[in-house]
Amino acid sequence: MTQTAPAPLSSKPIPVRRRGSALARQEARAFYGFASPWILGFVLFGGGPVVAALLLSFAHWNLLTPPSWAGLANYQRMFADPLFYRSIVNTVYFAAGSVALGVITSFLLALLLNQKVRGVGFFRTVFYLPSVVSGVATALLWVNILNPDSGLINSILRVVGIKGPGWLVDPQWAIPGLILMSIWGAGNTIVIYLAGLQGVSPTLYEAARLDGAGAWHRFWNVTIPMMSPVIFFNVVTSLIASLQAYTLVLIMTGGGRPGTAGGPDNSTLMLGLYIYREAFEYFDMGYAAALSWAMFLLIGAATAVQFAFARRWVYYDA
Amino acid sequence: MQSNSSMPGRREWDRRSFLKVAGLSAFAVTSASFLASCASSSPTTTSLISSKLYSADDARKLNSSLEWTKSVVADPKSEVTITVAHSWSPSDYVRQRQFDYFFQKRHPNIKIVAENAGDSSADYLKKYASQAAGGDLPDVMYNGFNFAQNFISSGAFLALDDYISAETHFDADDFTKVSRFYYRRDGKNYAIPYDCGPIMLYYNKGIFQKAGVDVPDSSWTLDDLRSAAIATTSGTGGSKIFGLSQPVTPADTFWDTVRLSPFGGHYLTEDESGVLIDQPDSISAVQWWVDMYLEKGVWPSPAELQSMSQADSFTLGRSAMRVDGSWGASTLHDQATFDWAITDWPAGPKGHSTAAVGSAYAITSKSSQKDAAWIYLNEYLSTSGQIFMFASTGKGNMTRNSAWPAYLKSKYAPEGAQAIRNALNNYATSDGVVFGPATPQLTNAVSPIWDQVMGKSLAVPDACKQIAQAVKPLLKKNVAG
Amino acid sequence: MTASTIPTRGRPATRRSAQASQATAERTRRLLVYALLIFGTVVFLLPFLWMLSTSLKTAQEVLAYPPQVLPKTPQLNNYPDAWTALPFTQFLLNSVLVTGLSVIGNLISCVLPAYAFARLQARLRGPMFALMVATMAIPAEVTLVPTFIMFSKLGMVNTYWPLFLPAWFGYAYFIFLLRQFFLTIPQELTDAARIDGAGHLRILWSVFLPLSRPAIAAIAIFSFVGNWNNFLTPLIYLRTQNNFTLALGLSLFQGQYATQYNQMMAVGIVSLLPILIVFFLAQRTFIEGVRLSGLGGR
Repeated sequence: MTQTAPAPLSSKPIPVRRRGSALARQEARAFYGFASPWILGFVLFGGGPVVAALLLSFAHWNLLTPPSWAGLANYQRMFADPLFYRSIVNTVYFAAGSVALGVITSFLLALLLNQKVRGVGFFRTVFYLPSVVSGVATALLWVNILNPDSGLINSILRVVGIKGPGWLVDPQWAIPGLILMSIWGAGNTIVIYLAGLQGVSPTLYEAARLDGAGAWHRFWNVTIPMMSPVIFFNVVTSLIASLQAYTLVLIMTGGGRPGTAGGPDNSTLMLGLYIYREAFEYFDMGYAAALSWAMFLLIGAATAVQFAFARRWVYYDA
Repeated sequence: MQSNSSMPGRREWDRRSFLKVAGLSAFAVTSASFLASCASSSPTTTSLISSKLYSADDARKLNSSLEWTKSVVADPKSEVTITVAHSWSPSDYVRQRQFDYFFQKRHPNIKIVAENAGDSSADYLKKYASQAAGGDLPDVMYNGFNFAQNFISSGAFLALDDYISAETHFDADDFTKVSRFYYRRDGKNYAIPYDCGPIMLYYNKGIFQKAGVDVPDSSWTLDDLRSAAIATTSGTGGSKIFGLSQPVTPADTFWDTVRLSPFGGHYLTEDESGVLIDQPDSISAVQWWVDMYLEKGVWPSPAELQSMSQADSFTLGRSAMRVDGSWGASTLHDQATFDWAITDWPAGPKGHSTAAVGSAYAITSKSSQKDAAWIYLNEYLSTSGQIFMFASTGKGNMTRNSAWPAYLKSKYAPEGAQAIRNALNNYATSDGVVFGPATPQLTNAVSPIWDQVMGKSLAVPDACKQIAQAVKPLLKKNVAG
Repeated sequence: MTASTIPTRGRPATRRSAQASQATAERTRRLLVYALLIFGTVVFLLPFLWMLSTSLKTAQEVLAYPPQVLPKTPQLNNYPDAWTALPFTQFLLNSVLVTGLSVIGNLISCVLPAYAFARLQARLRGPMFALMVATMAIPAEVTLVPTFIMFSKLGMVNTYWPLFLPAWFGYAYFIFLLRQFFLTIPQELTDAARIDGAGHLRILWSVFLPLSRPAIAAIAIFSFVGNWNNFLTPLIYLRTQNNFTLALGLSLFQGQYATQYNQMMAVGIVSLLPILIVFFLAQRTFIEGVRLSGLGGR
């Protein structure tokens, strides 16, 4: 960290990029060339449907008959819809809880799984397993575990003398139940953290140890800053995912029985679930599109804020 | 300097990995082009398949024992292909393909390409609504009573009356009256019903015996039901036995016909454009049912329901009676570990009614092989077809009266199956069944209100008024649609 | 100079006791780690064990209440029964093909843009990156049908094209991830390569990729799992049953009124095995200390 840049072997000067210079233009060309797969993908597969989704929000469409123009009707309906606001509250509550819990637990688990012990490969596979297991299986199991009368968690609490809450049956406790459940889906974030941990150079740890830093200081001053790009990625993407989440809620609180998917008193109605319902249960594509744009703005705002703050704490080597 | 030490052997990377990547890309390109050409429309069944449940030999014997009357529409002169969309479970799909095999033998110029979207109608709808949006529906399509009208009103289906009246042996009166209701519009028939079953009363013989209560029979009234439900409810916690397996709830789209009408109460108006649940008769009907829950806990509370997420409490052997469609009999046949039977739904003080619903098959209006599709449909839903597909497999609930004797003789017919036929021909009705386009929204709107009633924090009269208020604005969709 | 003679926390320590305390510290650390791992394993293995036990039960045992943990006698025949209920071997092969194509496509089409966003300057880079991240925020439900109509007009319904073609054109999540990783690679390495006359492709190939093996492994895992378990797009696009993928076939067990859980779990377990194999192989790249920093040589 106190080393100087290597001296050039040849007499070629290191190029300096100046705006508008030939070199800059060359680099820009390279940029577009390398980014072309994504650009093409956006134009071909992304752009069209996105524009369609935007137009749909101004229309009424039930898939079976051609769309009809609705003007701002969907948006007016949305702003007057109490369920819309309810779902936003539920979604933000769930997302905040599950991201906070998830980011921290996954990180700690990744640290645990990064230890040099025998059979670490097996353990890593085990921790990754629940996130790829069939959603139906996980949901059913979790519903059993969270059962107020006979479930595992309340039984354990009973042993300690606490009367466990109603979990998925109680409007107050349904979302905390779902947040707990999302831990099992931590597999992906753990994998990303693991990958990131490989990139923290042991040299830095050595140097820190030489400087007299204890375990905590090494963690705080080496691990976290070097992992910050990856932590940032996980926070941003987990937030996006949890703001959009609905499949687990659908299976757990809905389970195919009509009318139960909003949870007790609509307390687990997430915006993602609301959109899914409007799109594929009511076949009201126009309203679903309007709701999707609301979700897009919500996520966009949250993400933009994170990127703005990123400057303060995310450390890139370049 | 470190110029080379910081980069792992470049030459190694180049050769080995380049070859790997090149090989993979070649594989990718060739498989892609191979697959692209695999949009096959060759017939799905070219040989007779067999399964443990439906052996090829039995299928062959059955097929030859049945009479297959020819349609007045002539077979096509050259080979044509029709696509048929189904919603079968994997084991039932085997039977379907056996039918298709024999059909193709009888009509060599008609090739069948069957598509199966699995037994979940939610998945089926997703798939075919998308296909409809893309303008690419199959020739013949399965339909559930609860979404058929959506397709019909959008003009996706062909009116079949001309074909029906041209046939000499169709015998439209052979169909149970209640089965045809859901697929009519403006006086025309847009689909032929293939199954229609009523809501019946199932009972667990062992539990009745243990409680010392007489089992239900056709003479029962709802008061008898009530006393039996209370008498058979016993125990607490994990060993609790319930009198009734399911709650009474407005989320049940049959609750008007089955629970309220016998007391003179109603949920919605007949055309589903107005609300009647807040009328005094309706409120007292609802109260009559909810009282036995509030006082005696005869059906599972929301928390208790959760612990039985895999199946209902009757299938689990934990309740004395179940109010459910006759279509549940074949699953119960496989899963139940106790002795059970079916009987008539009891009569109430103001009337005797139960709901009957089912599914149908339709020909899409944009089909290019309408004649061939009609020949298929005609045979599929003929008496012989229904015996082959539904009477002999225990799926039951055939829409043709003439197919019932075969079912009643089969080993799958539950004890009391004649009651089902009796219901279909006498007191089963479609009046009061909620199935308009707004139904999913109605269900989702009333559930949170009803959760409070089941959680004992909201009284029935208030709940009914709240339900009326919640539902009124949503009903506009039924009228417009 | 050994570490044991360096003062820790200002307390002078003799060589032997310092070494001894280090050994015990090491042992406690290992014990603690194993304890936590085993505890975590019990918790995290639950869903899988539950699936396994359900797959070995009879149809009645699945519904028993209170739920039995173990079946009375393991119904091993559930596996061949379930597997032959539908042409699952064909489904498996189909899944291998589609997923294989998708993973390859993803790897190629995400690495290139990630490099661009991380290391190449252009005026539109910032806005484009923002746009890309923004696309992650659009829920898929609404774009599902318009995308379907597009493919339908191209005559690609009932083929595999809609299932793997988009994978060859980048995926925001992976590009974003790789970009984060690429940004942590020291500029000095790039400069060193540049000085040696390397063009961008060579830099990417020889500098970035070897150093990003863990990240690429992670993406390979995600891409594989995402495609292997995806059933919504196959549901909508595939009509001929023989073309179905494994995940779609699995969903056919889900019934309207009754689900054959034991058979569904049996196929589910078999469907998990390729994922576990891929994961186990890929996670071997997560070995600490492999990365060479290239700075001052250590």
